Amino acid sequence: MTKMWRTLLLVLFVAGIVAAAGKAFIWGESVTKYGAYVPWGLWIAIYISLVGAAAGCVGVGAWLTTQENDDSGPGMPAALMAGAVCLAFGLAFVGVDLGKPMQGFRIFLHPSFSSPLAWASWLYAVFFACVAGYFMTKVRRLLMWLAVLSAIGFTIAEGLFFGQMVARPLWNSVITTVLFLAAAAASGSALLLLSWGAAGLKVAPAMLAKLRKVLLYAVVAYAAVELADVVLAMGGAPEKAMAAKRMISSYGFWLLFGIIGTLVPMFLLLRTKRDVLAAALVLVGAVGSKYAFVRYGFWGEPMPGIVQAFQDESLQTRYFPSTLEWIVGVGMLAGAVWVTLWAIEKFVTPKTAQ
Amino acid sequence: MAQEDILITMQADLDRAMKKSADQRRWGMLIDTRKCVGCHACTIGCVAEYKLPPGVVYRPVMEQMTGIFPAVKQQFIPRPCFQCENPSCVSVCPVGATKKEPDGIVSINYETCIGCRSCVAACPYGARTFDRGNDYTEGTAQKQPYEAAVFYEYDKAWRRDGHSSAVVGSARKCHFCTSRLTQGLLPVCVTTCIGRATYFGDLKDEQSLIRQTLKAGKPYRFKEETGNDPQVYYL
Repeated sequence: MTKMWRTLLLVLFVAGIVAAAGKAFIWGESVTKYGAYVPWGLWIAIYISLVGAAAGCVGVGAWLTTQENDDSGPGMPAALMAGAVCLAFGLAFVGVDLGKPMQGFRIFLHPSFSSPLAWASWLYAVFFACVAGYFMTKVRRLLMWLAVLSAIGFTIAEGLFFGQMVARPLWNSVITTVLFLAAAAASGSALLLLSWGAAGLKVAPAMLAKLRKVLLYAVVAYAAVELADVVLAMGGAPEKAMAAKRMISSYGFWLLFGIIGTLVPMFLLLRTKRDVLAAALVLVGAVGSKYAFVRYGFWGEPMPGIVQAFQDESLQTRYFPSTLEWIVGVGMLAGAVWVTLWAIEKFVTPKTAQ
Repeated sequence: MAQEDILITMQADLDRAMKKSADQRRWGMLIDTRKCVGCHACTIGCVAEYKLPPGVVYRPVMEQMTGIFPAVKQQFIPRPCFQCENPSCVSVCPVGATKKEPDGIVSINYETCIGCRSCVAACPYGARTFDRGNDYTEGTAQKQPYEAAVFYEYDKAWRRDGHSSAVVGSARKCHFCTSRLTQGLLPVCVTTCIGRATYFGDLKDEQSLIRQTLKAGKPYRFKEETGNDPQVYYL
């Protein structure tokens, strides 16, 4: 990646940090647009996208490493580093999104395990511990697989968390968990390819070729599961069908996910050698689809007439991210890329070059 | 002979219920939509009692039109928290800040709540709102004292006096006026209802007015298919 790109990413990252700190410590929720009837928005969509990408990156990396028997190469360390950075940034998005950002640690001290979100949080901790152990100890293979298991675990927990909500017909389905796993496979493969390519790692050509194939298959599988989910939702109850219709007609879904995040990368992977661009677009598409998923989960009034009953800006069913939400969203995503590259160069490249 | 005001009957029911232990009573509500005139007194009474800020409402009154002209019907539907028996808001809370109390009230511990809004997303009735820390007097020359005045919820005194307040950044909802009940007072929405459309009492008490009215009519509940088993009935 050129110096100009890196500088741009860093500038966006700094802007994102400043905006996030402003929201968390000074302005509070007054600078956001979510409210009671659309309680989650852009940040939660990015959070679930990054969590999925982190899990998939580590899972696909471990599978490729085992397949190619390449324990000493830079592929797996880079996968773990990219996964850990992505997950950390995903959690930063949740932290900023919390009504009480400084109280987030309570989930570890006083968890309620009736909530899949608490399972996920503990599995995040296990994942970080495994990644740290991988870089600091010699039991690398065991820790690699423990990290993979915890990553699969928190992806399933996230899927169950959304899928069990009876109040949200669009999400309330067993397919939601499958969808999260498929998204993790596609966006994780993309993240791995992007981090290998952008950091200029010397990965075995056979492994790289296999990753291209995995990415292609994962993108097709993700699109197929999304399609199945939408088709089932369309044939479901009227509320669910209407939410699904709204979702697929949104730009986030058909343009970002359908075209930019699925069709274009498929073309690039099949007909060109622009793998890194394809991977970046898959990640953009994953965020687009998750944004549509979150946003249209809250489509419609929970009870007819409730919006008119008591009027306030935060008691609406419409939602579009505020300027600050965009700054934090774009800035922190840029930061995730910048930090991933920096961490790979700092901690992975020197060790594997020895 | 003039009929006794139902408030007096419900007050007697309340006194009887409060003599029992919490797990021996089950608070419930019945709203007779035929008597609701849509005056919003309950909404305003609640806002005043709890000093509710912008974007937080415990008991909105929805206006619904049904039927096809000329056979149309207008109804007012007050919507408190339904204090569900199987509340989906409780199981999703990752820190156990919201729970089902022995007397049936679904409570929120503001000191434990982290403001993740999972419960807000999980409620099928939109009964939970989110305290964003806003004030009605924002942008004016002076914040008015009532915005930071003390209010009582869950038998504790609270104050919204800045971003460090435990209430700010928390999910908020109707709790059937827990602190008033402890003091032997009926919920504020019940006492302010000019049409006497809201019945409140112990669902475990066969003699209570709410049980007798439920038995005499054909009550219905909203979204029963969710399995939440709401404890607020409508006529």
